[in-house]
Amino acid sequence: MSPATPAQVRQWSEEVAADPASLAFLPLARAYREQGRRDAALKLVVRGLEKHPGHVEAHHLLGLLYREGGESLKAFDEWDIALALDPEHGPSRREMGLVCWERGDFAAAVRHLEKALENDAFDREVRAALEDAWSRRSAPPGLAAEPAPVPPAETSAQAAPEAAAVSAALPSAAAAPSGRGGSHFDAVEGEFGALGAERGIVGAVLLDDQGFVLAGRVTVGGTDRGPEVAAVLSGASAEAGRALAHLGLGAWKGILVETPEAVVRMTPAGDGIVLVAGRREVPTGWVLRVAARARDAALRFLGGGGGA
Amino acid sequence: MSAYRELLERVNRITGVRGAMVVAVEDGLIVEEDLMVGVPGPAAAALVASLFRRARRSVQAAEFGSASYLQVEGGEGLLFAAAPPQLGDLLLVVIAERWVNVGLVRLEAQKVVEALG
Repeated sequence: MSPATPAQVRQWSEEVAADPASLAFLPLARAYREQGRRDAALKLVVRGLEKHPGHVEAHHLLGLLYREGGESLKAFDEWDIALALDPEHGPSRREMGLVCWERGDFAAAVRHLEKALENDAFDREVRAALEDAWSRRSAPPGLAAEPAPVPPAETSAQAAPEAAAVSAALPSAAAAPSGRGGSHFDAVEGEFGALGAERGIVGAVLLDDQGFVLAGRVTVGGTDRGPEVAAVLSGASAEAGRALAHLGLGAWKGILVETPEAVVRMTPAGDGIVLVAGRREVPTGWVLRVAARARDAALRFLGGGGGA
Repeated sequence: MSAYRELLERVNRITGVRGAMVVAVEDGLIVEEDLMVGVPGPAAAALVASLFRRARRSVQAAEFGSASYLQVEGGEGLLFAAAPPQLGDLLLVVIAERWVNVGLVRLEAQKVVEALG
């Protein structure tokens, strides 16, 4: 694809200015990305998706922009949405495959990369990653930890390690960007610990906007599952926000998930997210009340010097 | 009238409900819908199904079992997605105003789904 001319950029810009719902936001955002204006492109695509939440190409582009900003979890989410909207979308399939390969999820990588290769049989980066994933998908876990290097391509996935993997691998105290080691952290850690010990509550965690655990834990069977839950569910906030915006239902205020064993509540708290899990034996309303208290504790922490 | 259509109509009788759909979990496609004018069904179905799949992955990662219900609250309204065993790999999706009686929606959804089984 040839670079956009200044005249084209001007025309698209005028179209978007005249009509915020114009689809010209997409070529304009692409042009900004080519010019290295990532932030401008990002804002444009996010605004465009508020008007067109089912736009597959926009989700794909947003994924690329997130990845270039080092936000690999958000990038993964966008390509996941793009594929949910259009399972045949080759570019998103490609990026998902490369991310899965980088994470060491070789079975998923093979599934995505095989389809991506059908779309472009001459994609060297995809072919190399696929061959590596083929050879490793049935290897013992210890041998399958580090993907082999792949020749870089124009759109090489240089994403940071998946937040879940990083968060799970690090001791919980090492995952927070700031606010650790002082009284703010001690206070919020203590409050989340106390909330997690409430009747029927499995755990309570405070997450940052990248899905990293800042405080608390969710202990299941003696293991802290907070990082795993957080990594998957934190991306849901952006997705929920777009779904709500598209339906004219306002900004997201909370998500509730129920299973036969548990009730999980997630609410925004400043630029963080609070997650509380309770056993199904306790009423849902009780879990919601504990989550509201956790949110208050999180806001005190984030407002009192604990924010990033 | 299909059994699904009847289910949706009963849920839609609740004050504050703007519409309901039966949606395939895996691909987000609408199987049956009964929505108020202006509610964009296909995009909503795709996005809610995607959210539900994510929620399912999350609770499975925590060994909490399989997600059976998802509720997303916005400043101006609510989205519900229920996955009762009677619907197999389908979701009952409800779009409602913020002030809707959540308990009533859940109760009615449960009653009509049980009637299906």
